[in-house]
Amino acid sequence: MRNQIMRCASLLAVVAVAMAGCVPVVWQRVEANNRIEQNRAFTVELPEGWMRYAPVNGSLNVSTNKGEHVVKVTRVMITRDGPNLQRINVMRLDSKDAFPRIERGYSDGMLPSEAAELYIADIKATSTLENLTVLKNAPYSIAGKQGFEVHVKYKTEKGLAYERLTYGFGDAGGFYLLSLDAPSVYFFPLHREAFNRMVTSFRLGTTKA
Amino acid sequence: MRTIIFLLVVLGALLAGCQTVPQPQGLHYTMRESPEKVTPKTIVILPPRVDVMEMSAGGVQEKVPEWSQQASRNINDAIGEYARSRGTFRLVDLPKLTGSDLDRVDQHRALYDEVAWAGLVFPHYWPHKRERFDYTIGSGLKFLKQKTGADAALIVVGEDVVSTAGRKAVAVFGSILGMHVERGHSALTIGLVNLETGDVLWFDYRTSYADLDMRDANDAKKMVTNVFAALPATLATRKQ
Amino acid sequence: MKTAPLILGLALALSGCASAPVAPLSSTADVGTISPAEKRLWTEAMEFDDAMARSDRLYDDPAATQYVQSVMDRLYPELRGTVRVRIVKSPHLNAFALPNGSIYIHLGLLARLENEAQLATVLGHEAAHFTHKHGLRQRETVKSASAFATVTSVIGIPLIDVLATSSIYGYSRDLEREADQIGFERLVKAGYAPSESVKSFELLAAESKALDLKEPFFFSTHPRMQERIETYQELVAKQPATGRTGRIEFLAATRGVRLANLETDLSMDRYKSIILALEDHSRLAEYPPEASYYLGEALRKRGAQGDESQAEKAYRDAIGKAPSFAPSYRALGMLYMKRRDGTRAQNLLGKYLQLAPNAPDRDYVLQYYAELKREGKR
Repeated sequence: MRNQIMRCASLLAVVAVAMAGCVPVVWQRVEANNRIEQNRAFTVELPEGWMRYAPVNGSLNVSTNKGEHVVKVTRVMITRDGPNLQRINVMRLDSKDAFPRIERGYSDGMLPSEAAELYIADIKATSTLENLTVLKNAPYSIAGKQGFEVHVKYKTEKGLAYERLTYGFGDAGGFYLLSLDAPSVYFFPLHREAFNRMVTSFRLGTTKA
Repeated sequence: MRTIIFLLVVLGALLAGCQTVPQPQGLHYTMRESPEKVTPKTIVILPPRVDVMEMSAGGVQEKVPEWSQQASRNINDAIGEYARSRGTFRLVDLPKLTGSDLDRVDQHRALYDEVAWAGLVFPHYWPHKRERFDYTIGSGLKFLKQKTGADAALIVVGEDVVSTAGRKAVAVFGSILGMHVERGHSALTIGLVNLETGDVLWFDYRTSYADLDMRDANDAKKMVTNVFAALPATLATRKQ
Repeated sequence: MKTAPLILGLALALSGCASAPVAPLSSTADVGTISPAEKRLWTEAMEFDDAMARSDRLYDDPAATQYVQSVMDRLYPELRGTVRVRIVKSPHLNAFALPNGSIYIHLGLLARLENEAQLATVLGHEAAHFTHKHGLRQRETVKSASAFATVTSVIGIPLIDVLATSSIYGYSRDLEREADQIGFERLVKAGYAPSESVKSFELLAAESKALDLKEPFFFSTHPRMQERIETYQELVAKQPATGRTGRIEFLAATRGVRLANLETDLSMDRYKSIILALEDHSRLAEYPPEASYYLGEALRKRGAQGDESQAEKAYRDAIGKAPSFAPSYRALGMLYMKRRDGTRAQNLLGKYLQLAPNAPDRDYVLQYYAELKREGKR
């Protein structure tokens, strides 16, 4: 019996290690006492009961036509049931890395419509999203900054329809994106309100307490 | 579904020795708290999809349509027989659907794949999900209640990799030299979804490396029996 | 003793694939006599066709599709109805054949060709992979999941391993050479100018080099590209120089295709492709008049020295030649807005809103127009 327990424990450890590449291990449940996400870049209120993933290393691996590259990012991602069922991302990238897949940056003076255009081109650079449908692309004001609202629909390789709603803007050397990704069926309409409340609460960050 | 099958095969292989009493991979909290209220009486079975692949000596896998149809039929029949002989539920077939109804079922089947994957993975990491399994695909399949009179739907996906004689010979030769050469496996996952709420009431999977071949009706019965071994008591009158 | 090669050797020996001869298809009637192994590939290919038809990935232009099909039917009249060509809504330089006779050509590739003879080169080559059953012949030696992933990443729909041996990944050298030879014979038999076959490769090689493309494309890797050019040069040298190019018919039939591809390139920020296609004025003349707008947009996006004034010129050109094409007014209006020429900007943006009251970017333009109006009153 002891051998069996040891075998089970080591097998589960192997599973955990094996899964490490698939599932991040830095998860924290959002409760009333920790629902304000505050960092150098932004402050935002997270919905209670969701799971927050805040990686220690602030970087993002991006695949481009010329290979993989890593961009610096300040990010928080939350999900309730698993990132493939819903995920909300709030992130700040350096302006030069604003559109990493097409390797273009955001520049001061860029019109919101131009930034939206590049954002859409950036997500289309992922081949499974090449044929996405733009449902809405309009100006939007967040935290007093002029930005854009882009709502797209796409299908995965398995034919499941997803929607992504993104708000984006540029400010002081950085580019900010807030997005909700979820399957069109059931999950996207379910979480839209929670996402919009988060967007309303978004403020450009102060020094971390 | 291939991703989830692959993951299940890996997990199944690793965890096969751990369980003494079959526990389902997912059991909705309502099935634990008030089974008499939520246990379905009539279940519609979505046509099982079992892919049978032939693995050549060189390790190339190729789907064989006629074998896949045979295996899917065997699994369907095995589930039907289980329902008649041991289940507490009545099983009905899905009527032929077209147009937007068919699209809706396809979308929900694809959604179930994603929900089952999340239900398999994240409760391992999140205690609150383990304690209160509440995964759902939403109420989009409610229209099937009216069409079939069913309370719930069974979603069945499987995969069977069958070796050619050449592959088996390579496997034997490989094992003599101390190398593992994959010969093939069978994997079956079955999920039960409440049509009114979309709640994933129960789901489980089994894998086998014991040369089970779902093209054979008896082997298909064995796979189904293995999966249904973890069915809640309210759905099965007796277990083997 | 190295065991892996032993295992592989045994695998190949036992696979039975090594040297069984495979008869090519010579007519539609042959389809009924295909082997069980071929039937499997056929079924998988049909599932892929269904998935493509259900997806949003096919270019919906019956006239263009019919035209491309007619070129194929001229090359392979005995397989009319079996070899079916579809256009994929993608800007990549790509075409591939499935074991059931389905041929897919990407919008990007179609838009880059200059005439019907070049199109016939591509189609003739692809159909040869089908008629001579290259998918079946390469089945047992197909590479593993990396090839599969490559195909999926280009078109976004999964193909099983054996179908991944399309021209995206590349057949063996011998099979490619065979397809070149057979396709070329068909090209000549159908009366096309043989020299165009080399030009089609050279054109695409030049584009790939200029754009520094690493994506998979029709002619696989660069070293093979050179070899293929040389193969065709040898074939061409043995033929008389005469034959039709079908330039006029091709340009007329692919007008919409080329415009659609410009729109796709623009939406994906592929401004370099657009500039490459249109900076040559003789090529620009082959496009509909709206194309100047796309050139303007591409120059704006490139933003190199002198590009802004060239973009202005291109927008004016588009307005002059296609006065009811709304986007040109918006583009020029926004250029003037950035130059702080409020009056001109307002007039042009107003014209845009008049011509396209339901434009998807209407809200942006209304906002800019309102801001200009406010500034004008100060």
